[in-house]
Amino acid sequence: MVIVMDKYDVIVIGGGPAGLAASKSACKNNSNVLLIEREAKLGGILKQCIHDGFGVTRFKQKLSGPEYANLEIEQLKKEKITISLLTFVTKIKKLESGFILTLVNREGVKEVFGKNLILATGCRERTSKQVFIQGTNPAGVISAGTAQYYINILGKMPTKKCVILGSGDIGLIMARRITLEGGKVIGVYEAKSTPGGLTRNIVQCLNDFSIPLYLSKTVTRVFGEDRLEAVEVCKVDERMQLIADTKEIIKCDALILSVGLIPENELAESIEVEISKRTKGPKVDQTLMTSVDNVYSCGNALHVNDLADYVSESGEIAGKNAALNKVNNRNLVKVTVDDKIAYVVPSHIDTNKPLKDIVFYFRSKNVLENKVLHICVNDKQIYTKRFNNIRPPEMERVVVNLGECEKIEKIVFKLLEVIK
Amino acid sequence: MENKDIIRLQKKISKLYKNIKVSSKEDCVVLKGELDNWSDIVNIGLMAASTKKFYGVINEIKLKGYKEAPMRISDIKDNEYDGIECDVLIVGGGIIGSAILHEFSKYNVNAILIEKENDLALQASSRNDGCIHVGIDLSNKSKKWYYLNRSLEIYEKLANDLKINYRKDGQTIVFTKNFQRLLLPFLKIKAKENNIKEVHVLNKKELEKLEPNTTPYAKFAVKFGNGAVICPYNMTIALAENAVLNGGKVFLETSLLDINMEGDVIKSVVTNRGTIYPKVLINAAGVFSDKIAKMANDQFFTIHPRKGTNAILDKKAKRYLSNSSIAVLGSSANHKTSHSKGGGVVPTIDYNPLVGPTAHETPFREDFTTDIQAINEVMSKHVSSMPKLSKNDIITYFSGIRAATYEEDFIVQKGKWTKNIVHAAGIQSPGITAAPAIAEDIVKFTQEVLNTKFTKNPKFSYKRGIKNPLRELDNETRNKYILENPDYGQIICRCEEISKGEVIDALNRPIPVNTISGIKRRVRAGMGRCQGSFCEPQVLKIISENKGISLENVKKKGNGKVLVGDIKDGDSNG
Repeated sequence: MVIVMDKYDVIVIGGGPAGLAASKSACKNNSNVLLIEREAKLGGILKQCIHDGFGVTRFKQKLSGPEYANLEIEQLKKEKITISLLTFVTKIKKLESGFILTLVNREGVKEVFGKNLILATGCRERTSKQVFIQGTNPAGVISAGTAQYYINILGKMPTKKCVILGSGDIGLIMARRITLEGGKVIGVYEAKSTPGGLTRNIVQCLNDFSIPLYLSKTVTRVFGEDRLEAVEVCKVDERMQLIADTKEIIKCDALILSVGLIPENELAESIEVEISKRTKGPKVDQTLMTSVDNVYSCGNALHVNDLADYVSESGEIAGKNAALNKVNNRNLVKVTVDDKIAYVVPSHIDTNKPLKDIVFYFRSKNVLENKVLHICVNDKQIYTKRFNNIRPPEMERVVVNLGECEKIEKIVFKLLEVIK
Repeated sequence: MENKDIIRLQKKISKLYKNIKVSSKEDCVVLKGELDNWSDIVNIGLMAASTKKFYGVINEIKLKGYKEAPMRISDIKDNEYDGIECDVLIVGGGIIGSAILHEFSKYNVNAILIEKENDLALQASSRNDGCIHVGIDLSNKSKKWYYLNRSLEIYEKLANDLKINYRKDGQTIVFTKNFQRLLLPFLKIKAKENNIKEVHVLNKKELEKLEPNTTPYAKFAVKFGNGAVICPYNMTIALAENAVLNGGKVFLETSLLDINMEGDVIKSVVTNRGTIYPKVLINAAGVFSDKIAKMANDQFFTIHPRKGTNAILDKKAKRYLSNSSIAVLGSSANHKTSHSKGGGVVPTIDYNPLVGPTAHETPFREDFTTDIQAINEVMSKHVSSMPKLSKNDIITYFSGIRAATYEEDFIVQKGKWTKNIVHAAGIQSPGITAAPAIAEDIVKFTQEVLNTKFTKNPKFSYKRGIKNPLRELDNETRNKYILENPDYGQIICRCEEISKGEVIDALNRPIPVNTISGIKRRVRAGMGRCQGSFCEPQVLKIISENKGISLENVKKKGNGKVLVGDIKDGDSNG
């Protein structure tokens, strides 16, 4: 018996905001699309983000996570698209002409073929052991995302009185959420000397609820055999070294961690997509194609974003380009950055692909004031933009036209002083 | 032993320490006094043992200001098992106790195993590197070697029969100095004496081919082809589960609190769940084995706990890991004593690189905490054998406590003074390897105690009725399972690719569990790089649905509940 495999122009892995936008834009550009989601519902992490602030750029209104996701899903459902829910990709096999994916779901195991792949696999949270917290291994040490799931999806409290480590956005949002639900947040502790989250979240989630934020302090140890009973906090210096004799024991029943997100790229790595050390996501060109031809990356799998709106935008770019993809020879030029910039996405420019109005995202390494972004092509300055205030937690976005540059060999991003 | 041995030891000790009294109890030596430093107390015990003049060392020297923490026991207090009579009662559900129960289940013997925790293999048997050792470091006069050597003959088949993966990767010692070639003849003689088969000397080129990621400073290596890895806790669970299917009994959350003696005979054993009346008591209580012996008036040895920490790395780090367990000569985590092999880098049965262990003496028998110093120690030591190892790849780490005696050897024997006790005590590395042969001898000794010969259990079978992990199956077989039960097609643990169906199966095995950690250990949901961030709530829901426990009463491990109650708005529908 010959089994005829389902064939698609574009297969999107991941049904969060990046995957939804990618699927929609691939469909709109006349592609036959399969969207694969491992959970029972589309929307990804947005489903549990019941706070508002989503969609200001994309929908010109303040939405909650589920509202934002629903708008995306409604729009997507107008397109002709195949959606496979509760489906897990166990294997990707690379062929000359495309990719064979092995899928597992409640109906069984099957293989599908796709000419182009879009990896919209999101990110995961760093764990307590990845920040080397020591001591016992009790219940009550959980990531902020898991806490959010328990409270917002299950309607259950994981803590009565907790310490939050890390001032990333999810940590701040959970500080407010736990307080609203009657839990006590003793404080948010941040090892760095500057907060990790968006300013609006510091104000709305901590200040408005009188939750203290302790900078240059970290959690080093947890106590309690079966359930957490206390944590040890310690001051750290600028080089993140512990300062002796600053230990303090705080009684609580949970430690909630918001200590960073890591793009999930295990599937990407299985087909040898090159991963950037800086972003922990794939190296991509302006079409968001990775180092492997016909494989695209977007959203938090590409690099960790702070706004869902940008996640959707990158999905849209990947979807459109995957649909319009004509295989040609690639000529990649690396985008280099100066020592003030943490990273730029895309990391490469393919000079054989359209160069008009390229969307670049970048982050600074430190908090900076009064800087000018200079973009130079072949040592010639082609773009400048002034930034009064630039902070690592807040990603910057610029649209740059490289269409008029001749024979691009070198692209450099620099943050320079404002010349008065 | 003569009295002059006691006097000589007293003199030797008095030169170094004040107010330590050395006396004898028959042919055993008893040490008494009080000191400020734990390491001094251990040192005195080791001094006494090193004379080799005594049957055993009973070290009762107290640490100043230290009140020994009581043994962790279950909160349950009832009469569930009160009045039960049995042929043998095994104390301790580690690999030794479970292997012994399994061995008894081959015979018509009424055997019960009691374990104080709510799952098996929660202490040393899960807190180790899972190596099946070859025994190059052991004296062939030791019990450690004797039982290891016998076990190696039967281990692979036993693991296969129980459907536990056993991978013979071998163990490699790397040498970085040319003059170390002088050691080779001795090593070869030692290997021959210790009955070690498959010994290969590798030159630099051969080593580079087999282990491309080891240190560039390697000059040559010796590979012991018989070395292997298993999952130590799943081996323990498999032994106990198979024993239960063959008629053995396991009572979890049952702690031995006291022993009632009548002269030199144990009459009954008091537990938190009632008094049990065994004909023979088997002491497989790990770090508490000397305490059990004391309660039974049969203490002739002392446990000095030794802590070890291991780090587990992301499977992705496998790319630059070894193809066998590997260590550089001289990278031993504990130079001072040769009691621990020194560890190395082990590709575990699940292909996570494991690095460790450390070895530090401690008065705390159940202190499983970790310290950054220990993590740094294992990483910096073993980076010498694997230069590309990186701390950034660590996904978790853990500590265990070895149940070392001062003689640093196993105690596998009938009671010295008490008639109906049999000890399988002082078991540390290579205990995972030695367990099957130890169990055989414990059954033999029990027959001697009872002066009988057990008849074979005609219904004994190795069947366990469990499936291989679905991720290991080919598509066709996996598909067949999913068609029978769609839960096998619903993946809930993304890192380790575990289905809902597999979690439900694990909840309902012959020794049922209902904790998140119990599931994690059986099917690996939560063992991956996200460490349960994604799957913990899913596993929690499945436990709640299948065991009829409310969400807030599901435990992570022990008594540790994950949730504390409803949110303010209440009225959740889960």
